[in-house]
Amino acid sequence: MDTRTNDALRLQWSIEQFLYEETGLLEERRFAEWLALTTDDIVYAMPVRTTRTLRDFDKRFLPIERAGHFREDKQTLSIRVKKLADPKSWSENPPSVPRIFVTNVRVRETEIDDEFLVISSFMFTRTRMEQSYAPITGRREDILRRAETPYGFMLARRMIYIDHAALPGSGINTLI
Amino acid sequence: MANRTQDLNIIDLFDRENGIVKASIYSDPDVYKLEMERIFSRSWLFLGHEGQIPKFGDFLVTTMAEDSVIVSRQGDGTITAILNQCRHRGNRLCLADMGNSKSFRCTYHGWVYNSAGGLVGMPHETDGYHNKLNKAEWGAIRVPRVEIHKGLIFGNWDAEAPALSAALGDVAWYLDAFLDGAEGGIELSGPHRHHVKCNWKWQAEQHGTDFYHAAISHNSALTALNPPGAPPTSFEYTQTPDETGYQFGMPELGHGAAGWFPARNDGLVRFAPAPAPAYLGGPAREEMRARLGDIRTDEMGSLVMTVFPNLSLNRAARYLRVWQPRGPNRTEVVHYIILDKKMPEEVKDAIVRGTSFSFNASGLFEQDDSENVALCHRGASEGHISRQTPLNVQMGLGFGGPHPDFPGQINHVYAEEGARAFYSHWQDLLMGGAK
Repeated sequence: MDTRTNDALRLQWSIEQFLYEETGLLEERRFAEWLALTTDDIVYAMPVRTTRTLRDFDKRFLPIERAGHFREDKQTLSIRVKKLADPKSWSENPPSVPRIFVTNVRVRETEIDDEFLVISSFMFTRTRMEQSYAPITGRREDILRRAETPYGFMLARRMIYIDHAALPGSGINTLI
Repeated sequence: MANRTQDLNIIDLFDRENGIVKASIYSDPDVYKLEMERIFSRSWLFLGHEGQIPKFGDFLVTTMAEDSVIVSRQGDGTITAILNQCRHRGNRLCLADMGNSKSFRCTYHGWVYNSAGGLVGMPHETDGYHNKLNKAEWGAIRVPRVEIHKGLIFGNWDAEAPALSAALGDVAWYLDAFLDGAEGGIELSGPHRHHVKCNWKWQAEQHGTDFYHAAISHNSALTALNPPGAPPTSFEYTQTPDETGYQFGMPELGHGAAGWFPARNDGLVRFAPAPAPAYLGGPAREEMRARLGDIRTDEMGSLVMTVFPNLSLNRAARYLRVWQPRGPNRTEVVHYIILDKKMPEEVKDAIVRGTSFSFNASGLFEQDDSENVALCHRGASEGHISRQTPLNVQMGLGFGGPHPDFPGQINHVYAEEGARAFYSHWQDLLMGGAK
């Protein structure tokens, strides 16, 4: 195997490992540890999808400046994590069980040496008491930045493009 | 259905003298069918905002309860609403949520309608229908009444319904606090849509009455927003030191509104990050004062309200939403963020961030509201005994009265004046009474 192929495989492998580890933290509700893997300038957003005809297909997501199921930065993510730890956060006490399947991971180089665009597909489910909520599916477009963390990267951007024009499952109480 | 409807004994569903509602009203399919027939087919329902469809051919698709409708801007500037349904086999005419089109072609056999509903033509009109089909009789069903209040578009299936202004009545004074504070009016950002497993009435009633829940339901959100080191928020939390606040109920029309009045501190800038507070507290506030007066500028920042049956607004969080029934056990929440059209882009962006963080489907406050109402719905609808339970809507019963500054029947903020008004009008309509 030549060096370039070898490097590409190592990069793909290490980025997939990061995704599995950080997603595992969200599944295990170790939100503070997850937050520590995000950069101070993190952008975390979930645009709103609409149903449009082919002619307007490029307008299917409303502009993020005007609408979003999430519009987060480090500060608001920190407040979310603080709330999730509060026993009086009724919607998550007793806690729901989040499950996040990540697949179809594609890695793209960017103009910045140590930053990579990582595109993946996901399915998010939430189970609480005896009830499972309808799954949410979509595509994550992440920017990972190389860093001295246990997993070699930090999350600098997460754009979550969901498949649903109307979010199923009574909203989202945790993070995807 | 007719017999089952008579069996409903509508008078027993809500006891307005004593403030008692029967748990079954939230899940009984016969109650739901009657609501569709006697409330949603006779009341003014919110369709959208004029600014969403500024140009000829612009359209949006929304629902009036479960009925899909296309709301279009016509060439003469007027707005029409038609049932999104082909008269041939009932197919949807338009699948997009919004766009621009002056006509809609059914994708099944190709019947074509103009955006006002007129049937324009179809394939094989000559050899198939022998030119005998009277197109004037087979247009898409029109919403017979469409009226506008300060940019908000409402429709009503009842051709004989009183004017929108009469149906709004005194609630317009409260509603205009959202709409009329700046020259050029508002624009609506969205819609954001999400589904909750509960009956539509839980949140419609709640927004017209309930400040009682905030300190408990939202305790963790309020604590998380406190500065570092501050003590946890108390369960007896009040917005103002003197624990004042008012609640408005209008039993003849079903509307309700409430707020911690006066919330002089921060009501209008509660959730938006910089630079929104500086803008809203500066020149925008002076313009608002000139347009709305002191009370609606300084004292009503926390106003939350419901326009009967299913339109609700929250002033501090700057949202407008519609509780769209999707059967007795599911609601689609259609949620818009309210921006003044003239605001600078960075202020609009900050407000969208603030509202997303607090009250969108993932919002810190919305999370606990959604879970609570879904659990209320389960509690009141799962179980034969559970469905018969009389539920308590008595807070402040008998303590309401007139007020010099605020129109309507006024009570303390911690009351259920608005809820009793909601269920009174709901019951009147179910019995076939007052419009």
